[in-house]
Amino acid sequence: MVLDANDREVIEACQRGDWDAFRLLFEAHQDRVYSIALRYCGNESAAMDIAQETFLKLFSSIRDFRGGASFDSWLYRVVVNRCLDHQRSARRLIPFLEGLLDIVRAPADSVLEELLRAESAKDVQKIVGTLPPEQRIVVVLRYTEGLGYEEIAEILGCSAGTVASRLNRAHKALERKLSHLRVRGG
Amino acid sequence: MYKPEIGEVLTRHLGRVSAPEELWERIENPQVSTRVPTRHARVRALLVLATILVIAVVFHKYNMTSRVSKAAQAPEALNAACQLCHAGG
Repeated sequence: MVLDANDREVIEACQRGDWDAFRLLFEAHQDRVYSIALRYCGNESAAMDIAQETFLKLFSSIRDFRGGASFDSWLYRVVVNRCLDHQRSARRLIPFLEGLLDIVRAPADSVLEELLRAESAKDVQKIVGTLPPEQRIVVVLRYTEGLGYEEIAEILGCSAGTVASRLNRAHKALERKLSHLRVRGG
Repeated sequence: MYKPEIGEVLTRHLGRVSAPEELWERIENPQVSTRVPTRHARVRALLVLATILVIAVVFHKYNMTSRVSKAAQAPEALNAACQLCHAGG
């Protein structure tokens, strides 16, 4: 997306250190940044950390942004890098413990409740969370943001063919896991 | 084929959400509000502690059992251990 005159003015004001302009920029992009973080990591607390780090990074480095480039792509790159960094630093023990907690917490649901739960957003989110990071980020950019292969490729710094291949593998893995869920649900 | 179906499911469940109100507060005051432990985080921390405790107890019991069984196989060593215990108070 190319910046319109208003966006350009807001960004230039941010580059001069105008805090009100930062607020405007934040309000325009907060849902996008938070949604990517949440859909990528599946955890509200971690998503808040990622969104916060993204905006702090954005505000501290906005002077480096050149008006000719796509601001959206630049913003996507910052949030994607934050997501991947967060993933690298996250301990592997936590998902295991969360799984244990779920088992402890799981009530004795009726078949109907289990059926209703089977395709809930939480389940889908959990299954997406099991994908390798490079596939998961492609899924999030595709389905949370509705981006095309070329746009995703530009953000991730790879070819559109690589994006298509990752998405294809992710589809297959998700289809397998979701169909298993449906069978379990009834 | 699977693609349209899986695409629909993902579009339905992975849509955008609204950012929480407190996000801006965290950006304005990053040093105050960064990584506030949530209820889940506290539960996880407790679970980690409990797991470590259980592992320590099991390891200790196993260690004691193997020592006693070894001592039982060597009565002299058991006697020496008993004497040491008595001497120790």
